[in-house]
Amino acid sequence: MSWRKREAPGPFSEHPAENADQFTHLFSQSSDLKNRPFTFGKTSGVLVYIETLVDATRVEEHILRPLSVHSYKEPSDALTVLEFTEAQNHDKAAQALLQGKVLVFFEGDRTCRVCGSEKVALRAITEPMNEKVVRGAHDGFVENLSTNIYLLRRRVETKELVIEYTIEGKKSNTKMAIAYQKDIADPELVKEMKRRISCIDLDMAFSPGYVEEMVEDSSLSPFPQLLNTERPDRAVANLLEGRILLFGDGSPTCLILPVTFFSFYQSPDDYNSRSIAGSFYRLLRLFAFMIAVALPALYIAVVSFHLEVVPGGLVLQMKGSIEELPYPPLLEALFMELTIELIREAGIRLPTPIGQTIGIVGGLVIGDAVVSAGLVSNITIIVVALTAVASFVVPSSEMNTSLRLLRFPLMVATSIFGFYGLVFGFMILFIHLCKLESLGKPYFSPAAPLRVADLKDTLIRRSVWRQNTRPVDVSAQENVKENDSREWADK
Amino acid sequence: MKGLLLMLPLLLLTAGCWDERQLKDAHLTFATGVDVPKEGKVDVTMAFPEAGTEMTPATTKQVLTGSGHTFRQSAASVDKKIGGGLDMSKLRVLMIGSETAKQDIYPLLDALYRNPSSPLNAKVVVTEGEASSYFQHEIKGEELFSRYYRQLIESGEDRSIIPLTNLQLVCSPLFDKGTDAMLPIIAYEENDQSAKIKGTALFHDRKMTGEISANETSALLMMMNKKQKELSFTLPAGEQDHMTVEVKKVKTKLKVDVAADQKVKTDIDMNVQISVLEYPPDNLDQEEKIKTLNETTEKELERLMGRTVRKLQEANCDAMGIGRRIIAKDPDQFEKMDWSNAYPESDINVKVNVEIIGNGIIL
Amino acid sequence: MKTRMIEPHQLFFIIVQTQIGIGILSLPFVVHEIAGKDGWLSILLAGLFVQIGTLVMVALAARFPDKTLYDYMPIVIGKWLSRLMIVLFTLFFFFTSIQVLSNFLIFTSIWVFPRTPPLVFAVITAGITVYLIRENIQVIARFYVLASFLLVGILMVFVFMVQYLNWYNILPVGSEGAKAILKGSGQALFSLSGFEFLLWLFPLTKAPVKTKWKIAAGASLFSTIIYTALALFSYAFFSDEELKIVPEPVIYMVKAVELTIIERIDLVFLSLWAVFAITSFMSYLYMAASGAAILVKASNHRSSVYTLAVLSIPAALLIKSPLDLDAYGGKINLASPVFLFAIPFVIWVVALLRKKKEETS
Repeated sequence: MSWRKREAPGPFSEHPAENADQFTHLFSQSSDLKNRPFTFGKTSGVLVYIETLVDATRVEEHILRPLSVHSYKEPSDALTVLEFTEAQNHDKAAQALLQGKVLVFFEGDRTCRVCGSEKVALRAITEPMNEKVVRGAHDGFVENLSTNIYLLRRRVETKELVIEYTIEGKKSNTKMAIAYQKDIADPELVKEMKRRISCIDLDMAFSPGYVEEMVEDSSLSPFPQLLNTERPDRAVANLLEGRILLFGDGSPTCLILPVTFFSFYQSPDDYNSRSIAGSFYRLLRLFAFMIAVALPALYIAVVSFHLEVVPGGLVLQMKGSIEELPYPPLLEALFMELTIELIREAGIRLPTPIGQTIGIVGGLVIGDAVVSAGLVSNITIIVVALTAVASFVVPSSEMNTSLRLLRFPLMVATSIFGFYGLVFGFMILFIHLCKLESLGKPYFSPAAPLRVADLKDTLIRRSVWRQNTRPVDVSAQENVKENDSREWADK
Repeated sequence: MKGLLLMLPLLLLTAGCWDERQLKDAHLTFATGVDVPKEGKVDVTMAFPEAGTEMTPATTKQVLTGSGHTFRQSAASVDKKIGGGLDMSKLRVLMIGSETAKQDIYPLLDALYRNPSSPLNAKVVVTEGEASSYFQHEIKGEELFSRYYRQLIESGEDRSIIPLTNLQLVCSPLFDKGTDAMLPIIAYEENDQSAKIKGTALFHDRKMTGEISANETSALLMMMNKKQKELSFTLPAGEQDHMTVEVKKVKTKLKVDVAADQKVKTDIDMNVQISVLEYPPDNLDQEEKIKTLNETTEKELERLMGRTVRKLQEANCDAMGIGRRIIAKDPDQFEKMDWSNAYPESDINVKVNVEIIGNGIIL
Repeated sequence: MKTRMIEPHQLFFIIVQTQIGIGILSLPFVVHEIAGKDGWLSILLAGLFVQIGTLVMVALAARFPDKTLYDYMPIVIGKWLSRLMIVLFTLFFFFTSIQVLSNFLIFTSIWVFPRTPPLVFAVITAGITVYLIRENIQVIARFYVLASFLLVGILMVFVFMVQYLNWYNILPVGSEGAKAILKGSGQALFSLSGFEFLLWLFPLTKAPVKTKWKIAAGASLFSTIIYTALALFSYAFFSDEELKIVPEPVIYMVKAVELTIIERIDLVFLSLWAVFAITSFMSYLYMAASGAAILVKASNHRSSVYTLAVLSIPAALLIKSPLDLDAYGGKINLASPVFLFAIPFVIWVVALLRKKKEETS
């Protein structure tokens, strides 16, 4: 806010030195703002740049060296940089400086020339740590926006892929990009997306996480309404379904919207494996969803309300295991669930080897000790462990966090109302899912509203050649995506 | 406002959980015996198991008897002995002494039918002698009475030597005027220190009025088209040989005719396919032999069925629901006749047609 | 404002969810009290009446394809009479919703939670209801379709019980006499009510008139079949005499079943039933609230939802025992043919005579 508010000191001066001084003043004598005088032919001039942002080699090779060769008439002939523009006023010029560009001033010339010379510190394109796949592409997005767009464009070579840049964050001035497929994505959606982004007014937008909360429909919901991924293949698959992608410079994640609940259960692996196997794992994941949310609650309901439902052979074993426990099942289960959460939270930020140690110490040692100390029953350990495993099955880390939170209210509910607690809890949960929308599109589609045809790529994964249409929930302009690819088999 | 709403669940927590029944505090009984030593008194004997762990299997911990005027009162007096928390919702076997069963059994069961948490899938069995004594006997090699008796009954049901029934299923015939109930009956064998299935207790008008053996029960189940997993007989075949056969498939047609003079005539026509399990004389590939065997088996089965029917009629137990058939055909006529008197007098003919379809892996 | 439209399959399930509710537990008994073992014929007959009623409603609604009953009533029968009608309908729906709620509370306390105060369940049920029905009809429809997957749970009754049935128990068909069957169908009518929502949902459904009629008729047929099958099963399972003392035969017979993993499915069944009971309550309260919103000229139905939900709690708690419930239900039962058949029929006839029809623009 500081420099924007400050009154721009009018048009540029004829004297390079004066211009340089103005910028020094504008940047409050910041130490890394440098200027370098030079002479071009007979004219003297000055380069203004921010030392920490420019690539020194490029400045030396492509700006300074050509300028010191006196045979050129025009500076534009001399400079061998790709980007060579002019800045209209101090605001623009300062912004260019902040992007790592070099300003060039000549004696007796009021124009401010801008040369591209940004330093690019690139991380190698590697596979994202938390979205590993067995088969399929192993590249991932990186922190650099143009690299990410590059990854995108390499995969979708059509002129219909539209990239639109915006700058967000009044202080951070983060470059963001919206990408959509013009011939597929619903123009209404794109308009709505742009409208939402244009409303953003905040200081920093370092990562899409900041933007996510600004554009999602219901920010108090436990469910993430934007899918974020570091995998270009996943991003592209969604792009071609007619969804919109949102990138932010400095962050390797790409936000996808609108999404449905089931998007979080799709993994690129499903498409790389056989369709029967893919379908099996889809169903398994949804089953895991039920386990992760309901199993501890179910356990509490059974042991403290409805012991009738336990089969005769098991009930005595169960009773024997919990008979001597001092605490009610709710506390027992809560205690174990919290322990697991602690172990997870402790392990996640530690270096891998230590993380594993924590896992072993936590899982095995605590688990064993807690049972022999008579604090928690064996059955609870089994239930909690199963729940924990089931909650990590979800391919998306946001959804997995949400899931783990959902089971606590359900546990409390069943400890008061038994099975009815489960019924009430699930009713509220599903009503919420039915209400929820992502960019104005129903979140729980294709389950609610029910679209049987779209279950082909949600509950199960049908063979790609049978998935002829795009999901209805994104209201794509062009609905057909596949057309008789196995025509040869008919003959 | 939002904060207050969030407080609501916490308030509920502090209010306590009204209908909580903690498994760890419950005193579960899995087997219960009922006796009526004299009129107006009910003795209830319950076995309480010690919960097992992965190392030690469950064992019977306590056997307690309470008496009172009603089933509930007696149960309450047992409850006083164990220190509260009596839970009958996991009852697996309910035993009724044979003397007790000769009176109206419904009053003893009413409490169980009335309670929403009571297990109507518990097995009901009549014991020879007092039911309470079945919890005093030692059963060799079995720690849990309930498990042993339940397995005994379930395996008997599978082998079709006792009718498939439970607390719920027996209720319907107890009320029905056109069908009578049956319950399995077990006896204790002192020498082997074990119980055994004796046969089936026949009821009429909620009272036990007779019994048939396990073999006869199989025959009855065949007539009712209610063969379970297995059903086998050992029948005389020829002069001194015996043959053990397994019934593979039974198809029974039951036809009831009411004549003008209200005489009821029932024709049971049965097609039986059997497979030979044991027959030392062998040579089952000769057509002649098969034919004679078919015929002798037919005769033997008809004799067995005839005996069974006679016993049923003597006990006045319409287990096959012949009365129900008459109602289904003509309710008015049924109202006119006095079924309790008409049934024992009625004519029941059994015709069996046997076909040997298998002989194992040798001829 | 864009009107929220629902799809044909959603119309189907809204009607089904409203019809299939508390009746699952008690309908076979209620009709048996009157029509004996021919009670299932009464249900079928009631289903036939419902089909006729549906036909009248479709004929009426087809004259005003873009309007709900409340919108076109002023055109047909005048402003003041129609206001009175709206009041009556609103009261009818509200009282019905109270009957559903108290039914739910009483069965819950009899079967699973005898010691939990009914107030607690009333508050929770009303809370969940408000959470859903303050939204628009689209969201409600989505949830109902989702909840309808639980109908599979009712099918499990049929699968598990089939081996224990004795069909001779229901023979001879028709022995109770036509009068008893007809009287019994009056009782069954209440459980099948819910098809009258067609009068309001008709203009909101995206489909041609004929399809809408087919969907609505199909929904009622579906519910009729489910109810008839439940009745048939319970009559075949229990003997005639026993059925007289078992007021909730469907859940009672499920208790005979034992599975390997779940030993007692009656508890599971009862939990599923809770969902159907609550969705029925939701439907009636939604209809009552939307009527009330029109009466007070509110811009949306939210505030009337809150008011009616709060009112329904003490009202439902006033009905304390099954006997009270019978008395109360009897009155609703008397009123329902008027609202389900008579009023739509009269309005239709008046519309025909006065040649009122929506201008096609």
